[in-house]
Amino acid sequence: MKKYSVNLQLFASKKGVSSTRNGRDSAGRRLGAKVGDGQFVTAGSILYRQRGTRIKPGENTKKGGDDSIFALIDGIVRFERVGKSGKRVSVYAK
Amino acid sequence: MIRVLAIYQKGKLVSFEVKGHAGSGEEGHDLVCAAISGIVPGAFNAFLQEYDIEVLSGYIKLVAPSSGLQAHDEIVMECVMAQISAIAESYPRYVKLTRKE
Repeated sequence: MKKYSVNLQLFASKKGVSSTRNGRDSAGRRLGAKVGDGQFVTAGSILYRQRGTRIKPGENTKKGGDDSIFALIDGIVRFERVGKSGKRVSVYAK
Repeated sequence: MIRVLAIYQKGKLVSFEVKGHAGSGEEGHDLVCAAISGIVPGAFNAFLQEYDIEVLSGYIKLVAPSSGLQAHDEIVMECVMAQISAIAESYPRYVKLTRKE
C-alpha cells in the first residue's frame, strides 16, 4: 500500500518567497512656498520652489532655471490671484 | 482559502478534491493548512485499498473506482469529512466544504 508522507504546510500559501522589483523612492524635494505672504525678504531670496509654473513670477520677481521664483529687490512678499485660477508672487518695496 | 469538494452518487463517494491555500498564516505557521494537510494524507494512509490519488502542493484529488470505495475506506472518508466540516465551521474564512449528491 502506498504511504503518503504528511507535509503539514501542503496547503500553506507560499507567501514571503517572492521578491518585488518595486520598493524604491526618491527623497522628497521640499517644494512649495519658502516665505509667507507679507514677509520681508531680501533680493535673491527664494520665494517658491516648484516644478513647472504652478505660481507665476509677478512684480520684482523672476523664475529661475528650475522654475523656482526668487526676489529681485528687498521688500514685502505678496501672493496674488491672476484670473480665475492663476496665482503669482510679487515683491513690493517697503 | 482551501476549497473541499466531495461528490457522492447514491450515497457513495465518487470524487474528493481539496485545492487552494489556506492563507491563515505565514508558510510554516499556517494552522488551518496544517490541520487539513494532516487529516487528508493521513487518512489516505489508513486505506485498505489503493485508489487514484493525486497529492500536490495545494492540491489533492481522490477518484473512487466505479465500484466505489471499500466499506472500510468509505468510513475513513466519512471521518475526514466530519473533521473538515468541523474545521470549516471554526475557520470559515480559510476552509469551504462542499458536499454534492
